[in-house]
Amino acid sequence: MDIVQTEPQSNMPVSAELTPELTRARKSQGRLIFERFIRNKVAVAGFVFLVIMSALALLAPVITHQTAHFDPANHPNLDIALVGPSLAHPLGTDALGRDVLARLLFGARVSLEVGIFSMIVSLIFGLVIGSLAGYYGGWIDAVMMRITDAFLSTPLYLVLFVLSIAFNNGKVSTVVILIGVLSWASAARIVRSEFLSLKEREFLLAARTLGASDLRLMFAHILPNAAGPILVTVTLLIGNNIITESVLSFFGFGLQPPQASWGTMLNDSQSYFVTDPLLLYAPLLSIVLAVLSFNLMGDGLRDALDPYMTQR
Amino acid sequence: MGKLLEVKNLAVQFKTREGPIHAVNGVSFDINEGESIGVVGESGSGKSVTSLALMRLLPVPPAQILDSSSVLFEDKQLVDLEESEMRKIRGGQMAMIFQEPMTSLNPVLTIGRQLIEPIEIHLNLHGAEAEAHAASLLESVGIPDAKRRLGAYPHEFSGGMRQRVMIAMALSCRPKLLIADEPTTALDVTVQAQILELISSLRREFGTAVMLITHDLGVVAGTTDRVLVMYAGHIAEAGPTDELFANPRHPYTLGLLGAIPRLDDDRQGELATIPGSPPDLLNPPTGCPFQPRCAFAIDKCKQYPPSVSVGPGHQSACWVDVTEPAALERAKLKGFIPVGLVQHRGGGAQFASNATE
Amino acid sequence: MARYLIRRIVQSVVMMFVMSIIFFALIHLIPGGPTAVLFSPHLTKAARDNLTHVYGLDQPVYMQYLIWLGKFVRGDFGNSFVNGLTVSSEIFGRLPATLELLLSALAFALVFAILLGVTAAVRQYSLADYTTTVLAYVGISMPVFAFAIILQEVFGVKLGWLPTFSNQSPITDGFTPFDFFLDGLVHLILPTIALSLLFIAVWSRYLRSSMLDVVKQDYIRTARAKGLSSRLVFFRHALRNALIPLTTQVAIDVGGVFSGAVITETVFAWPGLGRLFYDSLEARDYPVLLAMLMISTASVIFFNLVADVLYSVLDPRIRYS
Repeated sequence: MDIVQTEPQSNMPVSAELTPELTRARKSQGRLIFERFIRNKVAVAGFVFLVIMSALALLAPVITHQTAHFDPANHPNLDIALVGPSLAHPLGTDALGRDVLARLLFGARVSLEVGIFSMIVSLIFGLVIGSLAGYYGGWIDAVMMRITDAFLSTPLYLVLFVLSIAFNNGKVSTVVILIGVLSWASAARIVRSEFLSLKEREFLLAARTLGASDLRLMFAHILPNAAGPILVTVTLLIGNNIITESVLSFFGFGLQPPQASWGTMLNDSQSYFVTDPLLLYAPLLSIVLAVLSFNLMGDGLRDALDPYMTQR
Repeated sequence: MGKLLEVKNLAVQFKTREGPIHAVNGVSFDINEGESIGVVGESGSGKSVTSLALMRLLPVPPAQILDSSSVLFEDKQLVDLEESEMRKIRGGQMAMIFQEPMTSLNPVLTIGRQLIEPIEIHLNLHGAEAEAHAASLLESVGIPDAKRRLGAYPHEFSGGMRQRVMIAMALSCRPKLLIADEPTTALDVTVQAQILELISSLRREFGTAVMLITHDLGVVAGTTDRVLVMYAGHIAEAGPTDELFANPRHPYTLGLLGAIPRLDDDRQGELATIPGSPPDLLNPPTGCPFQPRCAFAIDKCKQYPPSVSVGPGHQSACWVDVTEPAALERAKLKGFIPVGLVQHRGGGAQFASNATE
Repeated sequence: MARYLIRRIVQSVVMMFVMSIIFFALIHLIPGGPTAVLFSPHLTKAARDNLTHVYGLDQPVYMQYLIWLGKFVRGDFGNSFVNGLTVSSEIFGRLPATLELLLSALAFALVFAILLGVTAAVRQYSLADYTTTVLAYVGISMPVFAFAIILQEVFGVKLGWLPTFSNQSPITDGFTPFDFFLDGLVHLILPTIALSLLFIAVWSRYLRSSMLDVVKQDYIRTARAKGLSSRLVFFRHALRNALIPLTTQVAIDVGGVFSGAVITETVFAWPGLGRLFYDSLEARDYPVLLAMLMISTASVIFFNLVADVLYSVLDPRIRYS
């Protein structure tokens, strides 16, 4: 077909012979991406859900009337253990008589924290390794990529279990670092391939001729242009990390009781879910919905950034 | 010679999020048996869409051939023909080759397998017989050592060789009509001439009518009997090739002819170009679609011009008579450079000669 | 191709060597160590020292590594700390159960993924397409263990249709061979579904999108222009091309299936390698853990190589040099 929608790169000189399609597309890259994202209803739904969930997680102390002497997520009361939903306990109580809703809300804080902070750890590793490899190439690239390959070929859960036994003290920060350190390889690959393709572009050559330093080139010129694909990767990474945390905690290698996280709640529910399925389904549904939202949002972002994909 | 193809009022739209794109807007033309016809226009003029519509190869949706369209091929109405009937025509009586020889062949199947497919379907030849036929086809398009080459994969062939394979495939069932959509655009200049020559000689040999689609006037000049000039999904001008080159009557054709770089051109300075850009087919202008870019435009151009006869077999869809001195003077004032019209009046052979090389 | 293969194999061996150092170090970082976990507190000091010596734990760590490496390259994985059996025999004892589960899950996943992916691509935007999409998203967003527990809860506990633990019934008195077969089969159902969900989700999406990619290609238009029936266009021209990337993806995923198997086997108390890993972890059974880490890493590396080779076999354009 002769009619092709083309997207001019905002930082490239715009040719004088723009067809009307092109002129329309020039509105501004950011605005266009935003418009395309907004049109994608499921991605927006995922985003809205995440906003609501984050708000609930942030407001958890207020919602559950936390005080200095009262920890609503950790207030055992064996007299009311395994009681079904009531006004006082909308989602019932667990085997120790703790309020399930309160634990769920505080668990959301922990799961989001782990998901996001371990993503940041991965991102730092991925950025450093990927940009060095992609920008400098040669033996640096070879070494960096072998390291990345090594991390890609480790069986994630097995090594994570071993590492957890070795290092884990049940603290959130430890779990964050463990997950982050083991899951940066895919991010590094994306960063590398973006750097590889961007460093040959004209605008970079121009900046180089003007005497920009390597660091400046990497962070002021290349990185902003690689932001899209990296953003997609890290969004999907957050979802994956939430799953990883739940697996670790479920098997007892992650966060430790009485810490409330969705993973530890699932672990707690193991012996009781036959009689009290809500103990299982409440944290489970939370995990699935949160991860689903991150995945939908990530895919929505990817489609918005790449108009050729959306035409499917 | 009898009429092979009769297209009347062909209109094609593409549905998009922003609204329908009017790709082809009421195109009518005929092709006679054994005739060679060129379709010329810029990208986006609807020439490729027209050819794909004839073959019913457009993806439906988003494409849609409007009900008012009529495509008679050997007195068979193709627009609403059953898909199973259409398949018998495709590749059998009407074949097509495409612009991109590099991507038009399936990378994971051998040349032989792909060449034999239409032979099996349309000629009902199988096994060794089909293979022999395929090999002889490869030889006739100038690929040596054809028998062995049948086992090769497309990536082992150069672009020109692949286009030869495409031609062999298209002609394998002796079609009545061959549609060649920019067959040489993606090829090296030297190979271009060879491929065009191949198409011409095979046309003479098989008596196949050829519809040659191109944006390159030079390609049309040496190889076709008649030319259609398309603009924004309309036929702007149509006529016998020599007549149309010698005596172009549509301002758009004038522009196109001016836009051919010529070795014998003694003008200093830059190449004549047509100012402006083709119209947005989402919101086509009312009236003549060329009018916003046209130096000859007058008030009347706000209405769509009828196609009028301006010579034997020669029609132009324009309100203005560009040969009229007053019209020409007006256009010159708006920056029109009269090349090919005034200076070379009657000298169409020049175009033809430097184009066939 | 041969040269490429040799280079890749050498690279893989080097990689395995480096990984073995890392894994060895890692395992010896585990606090407590086997002495604390394994030895009865009532052992005399002499007995304790003797056992420590037998296990080689009195040597410096690098010596322990070199001893281990020397045996490893000769195919000797050492002996289990827990029961003194050779690690190889432990692993071979568990292998059949794991292979049974893996093969059944992979076959199940492959069949379903291809059916779903193809249907979704052919009937784009149909109910089947949306169903596949929803299933895929849920599959990707659901932790494997959680899905396994739901299956247990619904089909095992609530409905009572299927067994939820192990690979055979605890009491098999008077079973005919056919009964054994049937018993094995019903035990296999839930773990198979649990383990294959993620693969079905990923592969069907993958096939759908590569299928949609392929049908836009010029050669598909050429095939249609030849007058081929849509079935021929589809199966001979489109599916074949679309399956190439899927094949390599499957090979890569098969290499990494072990991680998922550990989780599934643990939840279903499946007596396979995954369960062995979990138990060895609890018991700090170093030699077994090391062997398992090495084997699963080797499997990832090996199947990555398989993926590359498969790619070049399936796509005539790819030739490694």
